[in-house]
Amino acid sequence: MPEVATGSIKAALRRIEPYLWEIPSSFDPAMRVPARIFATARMLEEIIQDRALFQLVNVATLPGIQGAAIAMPDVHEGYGFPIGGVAAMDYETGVVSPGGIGYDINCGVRLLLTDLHDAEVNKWYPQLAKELFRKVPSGMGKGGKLKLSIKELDAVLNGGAPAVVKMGFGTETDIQYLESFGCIDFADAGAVSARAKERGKNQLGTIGSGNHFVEVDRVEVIYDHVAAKTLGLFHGQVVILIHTGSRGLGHQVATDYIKTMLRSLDRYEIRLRDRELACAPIQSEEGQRYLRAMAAAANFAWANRQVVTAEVREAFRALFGSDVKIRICYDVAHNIAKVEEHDVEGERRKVVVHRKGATRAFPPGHPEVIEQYRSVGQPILIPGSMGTASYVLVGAPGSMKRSFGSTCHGAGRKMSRRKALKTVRAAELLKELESEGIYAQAGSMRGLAEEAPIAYKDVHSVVDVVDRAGIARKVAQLRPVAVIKG
Amino acid sequence: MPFWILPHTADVRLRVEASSVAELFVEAMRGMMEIVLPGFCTQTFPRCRLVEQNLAVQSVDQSALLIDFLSEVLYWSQVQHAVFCAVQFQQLDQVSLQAKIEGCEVEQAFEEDIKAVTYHESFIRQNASGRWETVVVFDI
Repeated sequence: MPEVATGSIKAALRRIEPYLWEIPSSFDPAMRVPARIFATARMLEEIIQDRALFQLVNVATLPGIQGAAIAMPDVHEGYGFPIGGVAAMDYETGVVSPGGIGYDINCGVRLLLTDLHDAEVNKWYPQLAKELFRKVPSGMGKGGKLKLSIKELDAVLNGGAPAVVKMGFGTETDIQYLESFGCIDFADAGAVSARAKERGKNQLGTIGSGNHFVEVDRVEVIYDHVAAKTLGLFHGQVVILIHTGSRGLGHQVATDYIKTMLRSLDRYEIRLRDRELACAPIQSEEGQRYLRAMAAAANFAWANRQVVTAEVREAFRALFGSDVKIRICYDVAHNIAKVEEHDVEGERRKVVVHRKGATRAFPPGHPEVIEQYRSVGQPILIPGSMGTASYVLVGAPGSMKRSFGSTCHGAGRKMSRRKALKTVRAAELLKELESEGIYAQAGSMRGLAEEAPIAYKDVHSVVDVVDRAGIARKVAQLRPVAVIKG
Repeated sequence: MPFWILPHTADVRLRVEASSVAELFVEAMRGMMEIVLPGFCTQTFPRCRLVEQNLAVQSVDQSALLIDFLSEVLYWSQVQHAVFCAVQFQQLDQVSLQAKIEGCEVEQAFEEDIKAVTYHESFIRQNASGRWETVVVFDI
């Protein structure tokens, strides 16, 4: 079993559109479809420095893959699938691969809108950072205040965000503004192992560590005034981004099912380049059971962001009074598989779209975009690094033709954690951020250094590529003012 | 040192080398624990509450067995908030093992939150000098 495809990726790359490159399927006899990458020529030079494109070529070898294996401009090396990748598999003949969703199932981003203006409240940002740090549990393996029985946890796994709204975390209106309304209906708590439940039972309402955060931003630039107004954004507005996922529960679900699928490869005569691509036919017992468990973990993640939302509301109300209004703008999943219909080679096909570090980007008029936003397209939330900027975009028509209704998910790392640790001193970073009016609170100085802005690609360039490629459209740029890290 | 951390853009890639397969398993575990809480397993007498856990693992082959073993250790490390530094194998073959892992329940926060142990690039092989080696990529 070779570790990676051979040959020179760089020599094989050809430009097929101004911001789209292709590695043709002739590059490697095992490729069933080409591999395509959204990027500028300059970005591509950086992208080929790690193994991301070799991993993308490996994805293009999977049974049932449709159209192309696709990488976004924030792509970087992962394990098995690259991070920032999209792969659509035929629903009848294709496979589902837990590695194509990732260990943090339904890791995603939620944007909350306040009715506060930066000018009214900016002197309170340092206190706001501290209050949020107190209210939102963060850090390694940190548990939340909410301790669920297994019966209650099962209700969350089957019911998603609406289940925790019933427990008093938020309102029915909140649910209207979540991708899939915060619940995949075919979820089955019975497909989730006791171990996964043990890892997750005390973690609702926690953000964890790594690149997860709660960030307060102000709306700095508006590019599209009509779309901004439709989404409820105004210049100078104080908004909040929440980035977290399914915590230990999702990690264990992925671990369990990758092991299960490795055992069934021979039975389905599947040969893989990399064991992290472990997969099973979508229509097999293993495939269907994984999809039900994945949906349950995704529901847990939506519930998690819903409880964190309640904690954020509590922190804001403690500081600014009980009449401060905070509503959800939108909530996106960027590590997930979705059953969707897309046009492939002139035919309408049912596919399972794997998005690993990629965001759904349905255009205006798409029936799955909520009615309130259907005229402008699905909101897309792109967090940058803590010292730069984040973006709100909407889906554009090109996404349906070129990327199975998908776009990028963040700035994308370019520097290893180890190198970041050697390069950055956390105490100095905190001071630098403060001098720029960004107040950070972190559970771990090491974690803060690992996530320093220098470790990330330029989010502005990433967003410009997806905007110019026609798969998403810029609506607003957000500037961080207070950041809570694990 | 029997393990080294190699470059990886977003996660952690660990190379492990040992004189036997059993030692490779032990050092891979200690390498993982070094990522979780650096320096802990190399302290002479770490102050802690001792914890032990019996494991039984079955896998498709030896390389998968190592990853599945590490996933087991990671699970117990996370639910017990413990760092495991020693292993006693009752049985270890190509596709299964029975072992007791020994370590400490710790007060301090872990330095790194490992989400999972991946199978990516993990192939146990014997190198030209007869030593056993592998690479393990951890999702962070």
